[in-house]
Amino acid sequence: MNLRALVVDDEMLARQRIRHLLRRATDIDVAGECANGLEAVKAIEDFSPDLVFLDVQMPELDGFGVVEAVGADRMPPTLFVTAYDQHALRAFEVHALDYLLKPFSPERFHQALDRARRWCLHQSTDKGPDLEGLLAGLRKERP
Amino acid sequence: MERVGPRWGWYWGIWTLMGLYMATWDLVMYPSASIPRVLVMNLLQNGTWGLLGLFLLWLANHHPIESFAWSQWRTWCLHLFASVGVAALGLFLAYLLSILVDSGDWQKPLDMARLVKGLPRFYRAYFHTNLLFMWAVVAAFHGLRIYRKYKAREIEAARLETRFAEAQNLALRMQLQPHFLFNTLNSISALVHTNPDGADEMISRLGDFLRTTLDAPQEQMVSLRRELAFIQDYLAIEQIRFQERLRVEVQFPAELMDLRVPSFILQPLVENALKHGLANRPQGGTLRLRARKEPGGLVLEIQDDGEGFVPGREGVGLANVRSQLGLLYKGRQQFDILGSLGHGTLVVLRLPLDGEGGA
Repeated sequence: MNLRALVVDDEMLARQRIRHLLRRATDIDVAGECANGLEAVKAIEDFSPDLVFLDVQMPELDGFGVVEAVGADRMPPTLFVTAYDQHALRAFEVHALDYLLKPFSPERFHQALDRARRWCLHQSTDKGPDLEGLLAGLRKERP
Repeated sequence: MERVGPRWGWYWGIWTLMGLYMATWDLVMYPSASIPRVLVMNLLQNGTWGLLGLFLLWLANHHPIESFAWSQWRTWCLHLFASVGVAALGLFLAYLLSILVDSGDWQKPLDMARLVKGLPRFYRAYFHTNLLFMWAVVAAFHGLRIYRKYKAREIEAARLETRFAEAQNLALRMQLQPHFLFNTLNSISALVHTNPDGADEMISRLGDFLRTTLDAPQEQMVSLRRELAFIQDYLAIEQIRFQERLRVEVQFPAELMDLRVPSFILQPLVENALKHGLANRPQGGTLRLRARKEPGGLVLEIQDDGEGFVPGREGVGLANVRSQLGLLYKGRQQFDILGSLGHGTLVVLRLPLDGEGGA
């Protein structure tokens, strides 16, 4: 069964880019798009997607506000997508799967997708995302 | 310690004037005296004192009095004794000169008896005046020294202030870069697939914007026209990103376009308006930029219809604008942020148009 993804970003073009990149991932469907945090909370509660692409800076309720409102435990696997690298640590504190820095390459995007797929497959046995590895990768991206 | 450079024209000029002044004094006291004799005598005497005064200047230059503090007592004493000594020596030489001039014969041996007899009276008559002269030399030296120090400090302060203003200006232009740039690049990477023309447009707008911020000469003041062009590049990019959510109205009368405004002063204010007035509202909002001339100067207004300014939440951008304005206009500017929660924010900038810093 395909994974259902929710794309949350206040910028239409940013959502469009993720949707475009997801076309190549045949095992993932875009189940919905939200332009702000409140819509996102509602969508997550309504149809609990398997995967959320979450922008940090948004009107009404930002990305962390969404995680807080839904509850970190009930939050679906989340990939943060933002231009702000200083939010990375906080993102992993709320169990983000990955942290994509805008603008990102298609390779980096699909690497994040692989991580999400693995996570969804082994959710029952896995200990959780490899925080150390992720942070090291982030440091390499932004020297 | 900086040296007090010579102003010898003034130095000898004043001694010459003193000589003439003393000559008139002598003529008042001894109306029967010969005028040429009195003139020659006084000019010679004052010349001698001037020469001796050089020693006091040299001493003051090497041991200047720095303050009225007790710790300076040694220096005060040094100058007191030196001036007493120089005054005494000066009077002795002056008396010697008067005898020589009176005798009119440089070959004749000195009339020692006259010297010894007349000297005490001469000292009683002139010592106090002469000591005052020497003190005046020392005082003038210190006065000039303090004045130059003050001047140097003033120049240094002005230079520091300019450099600080430049640094602040750099901060203004750098402060806006990273997130804006990354978000814009992200938008472009979306556009290349769906709307290549739009991507093209955005890249060229971004190019213009970067050229202005990165490449511009470090001018503190630019024309309103240039500042507006820069803002419009910025807004064009934001408009592609936010689309119909961002509406912009600009009312800048053409006749104001040549007035000078601080460079990069509008962008942080516009960015703030977008951030608080628009980005936080899903339905978007309208940004209004207005310029007008008042008797007091140029008024620039940036208005949004967003969530309203919350006092005390001033960010780096506003602080930079504030300090930049303060440095350039020294308090003659006015910078008001008006607004209430839910009713938008109005930023009013009043810039004087006269004199330095102005247009």
